[in-house]
Amino acid sequence: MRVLAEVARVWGFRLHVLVFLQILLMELAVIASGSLLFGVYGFYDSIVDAGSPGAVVVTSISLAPFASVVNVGQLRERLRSVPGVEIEERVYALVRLRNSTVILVGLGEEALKSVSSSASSARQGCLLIGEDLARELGVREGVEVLVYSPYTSLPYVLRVCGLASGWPYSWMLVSDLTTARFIRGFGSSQASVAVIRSERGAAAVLEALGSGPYGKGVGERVVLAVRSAGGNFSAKLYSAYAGEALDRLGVPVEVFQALVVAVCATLAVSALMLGGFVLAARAREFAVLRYSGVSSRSLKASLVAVLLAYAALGGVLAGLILCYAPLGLRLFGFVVRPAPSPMVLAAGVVLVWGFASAGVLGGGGV
Amino acid sequence: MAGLRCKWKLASIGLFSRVCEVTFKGRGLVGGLGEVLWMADLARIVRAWVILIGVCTRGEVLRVALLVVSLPLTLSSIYLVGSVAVTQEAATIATTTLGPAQQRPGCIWARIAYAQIGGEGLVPVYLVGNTGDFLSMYGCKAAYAVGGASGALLSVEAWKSFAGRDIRFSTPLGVYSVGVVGFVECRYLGGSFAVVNFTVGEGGLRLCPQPLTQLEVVGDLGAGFSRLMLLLALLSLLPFAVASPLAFSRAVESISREISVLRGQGLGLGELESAVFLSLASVILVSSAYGVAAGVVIAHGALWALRFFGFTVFSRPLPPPTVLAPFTMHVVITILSGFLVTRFKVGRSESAC
Repeated sequence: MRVLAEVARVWGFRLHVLVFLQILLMELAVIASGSLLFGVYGFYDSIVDAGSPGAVVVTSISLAPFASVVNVGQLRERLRSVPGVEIEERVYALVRLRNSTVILVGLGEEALKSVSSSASSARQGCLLIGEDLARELGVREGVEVLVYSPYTSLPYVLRVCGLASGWPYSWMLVSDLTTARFIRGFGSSQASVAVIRSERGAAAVLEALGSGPYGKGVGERVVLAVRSAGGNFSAKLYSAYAGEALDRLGVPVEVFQALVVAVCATLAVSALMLGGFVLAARAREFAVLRYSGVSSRSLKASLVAVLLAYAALGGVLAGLILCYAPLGLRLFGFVVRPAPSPMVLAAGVVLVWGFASAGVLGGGGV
Repeated sequence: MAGLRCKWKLASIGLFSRVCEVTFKGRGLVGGLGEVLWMADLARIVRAWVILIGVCTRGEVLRVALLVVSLPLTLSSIYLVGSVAVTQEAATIATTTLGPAQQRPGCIWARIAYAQIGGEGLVPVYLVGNTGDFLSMYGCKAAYAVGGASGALLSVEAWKSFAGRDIRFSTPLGVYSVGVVGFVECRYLGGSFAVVNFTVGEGGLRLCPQPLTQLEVVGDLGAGFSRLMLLLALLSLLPFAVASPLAFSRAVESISREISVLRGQGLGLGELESAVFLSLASVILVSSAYGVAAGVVIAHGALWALRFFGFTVFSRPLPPPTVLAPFTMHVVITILSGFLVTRFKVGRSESAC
């Protein structure tokens, strides 16, 4: 402890500030990069907000919910034997509104009521526009808007009947299922996604849909991609929609995750310089400490401890900045924010601290 | 030993300096004493610069430059080449698969209503002044199954479900019921809809053809990923730009002995600073070029690997000048930090002596 206090004292105020600012900026870059990449990874899961844990999201084998087509009638038939099953149909489409591509979601009556308190929300031919999206596009309640569908190439005039609030609908257009179906070009028994909940849990649903052994703990997010052609029905299980999309591209999820870790680690390499700089900047003071009987090991341990404190503090600050700063990336009108998950935050702190410590431990002269 | 090495390096370029001095003396006869002195200073700087470049490319400075300049530029080059590849692929896919959907000229006035047909959900009904204009605009061909052209035409999809039924719709002008007279097959339209001849009047909407909606959506997708890549490229430069003053400070310290030898040879402080800065800047520029080139090669290797595994990738992208701003910014920042470090470090070592 005495050595730690001595080391902290000989650093001086300016070096403390300099090192902390450097660590903060490095962590900001590392954590923002990791969060953005994982944000894009979880983009579809953010859109298809399955709600309660244990729900099974059924899609067709597709690259995106906007391209998925599920036969709900066939699903109902297969799930008849499972008691207490509730199937929520959703239709996802991309549409052009005021020269922007935005996401439109068609919901059932119950879900619509939870999205908006507007009494007319469930009316056919009506649209609810997300609060944030309305602000972004300058669309007011009560106006008629022209929406172009890339699926049918038809223009549709729809009245904006209210505002949708809450994540993730505040960045989307929301309509009833019928309206969304004719924009998407679907028949009455088709949907993009079916969210299935059962009293007996996800395992019973998956068993009925013949997805094979269920190795994950019930309660996690479950995405089931089904293929149905010519009377054959097969299903494949994923833990995220991105897993399904990557699988379609022939890339294992692990490759993507390893790539993100590699990118973050490469950025954190810059912290190597920091450790070496600290040693060089206070070489004389550290030499005096060594002559006064402090061992090299305890000196280095103290330096590493100071760096850890700054890395932890920097991580917390970087997390707060990324959570509250108005940063974000627009994908189809939907904002992907670099708000870090605890895992990414911890990884960023450990990587920057680890490389800075390696710079200290690898540097000579102490 | 180090002193001997430095002396050998100085001797090795003795010929170069002599040539410079003779040249400058020759010019001095014409240009005056001031010019001679200035040119002699320049010669000394150039000589020291050449020596220091030799030192820098073999030691710590090069390692630092590779880490602080080349590595981030490699990473951001990969992102930027990826960004260009995504944009080019999106454009290529759009033009090859959706290219035939050329935009047709002209817009028409229309009113859009929704009809309940047979109690089976809503179908949009396009009320247009002239059905022929609508059909022409969207590349549709009409087939009249019943009677003449004075009724509703359904799309093929709607025809399958609602053939033979009447369409009932309401507008602010009143409630109407028309019979279905045939169906249309359209090149650019899909889904269920109906087209009816109608006097649009006031309150109509200007309908312009949007067969390029799919192109626009694909373009937006490409632009979204492009923005992501650009943001990641900037983020990958940030920590290294921040670390560059520290790194160059360490690099200049690593060549402090050579700097002392040059000072001992009679080089002025300003000349020494200039020579150190020039050699650092040279190493930074070479490392930048190396980093960008490595990034482009790695990105192309990844694209080649995709082709090898059966993905059709058309583009052979290079970072275009419009996205070179991050590179330029990083190089400028590192050169600036090199300059500041040189001013601070070389001056300080002099005062310490």
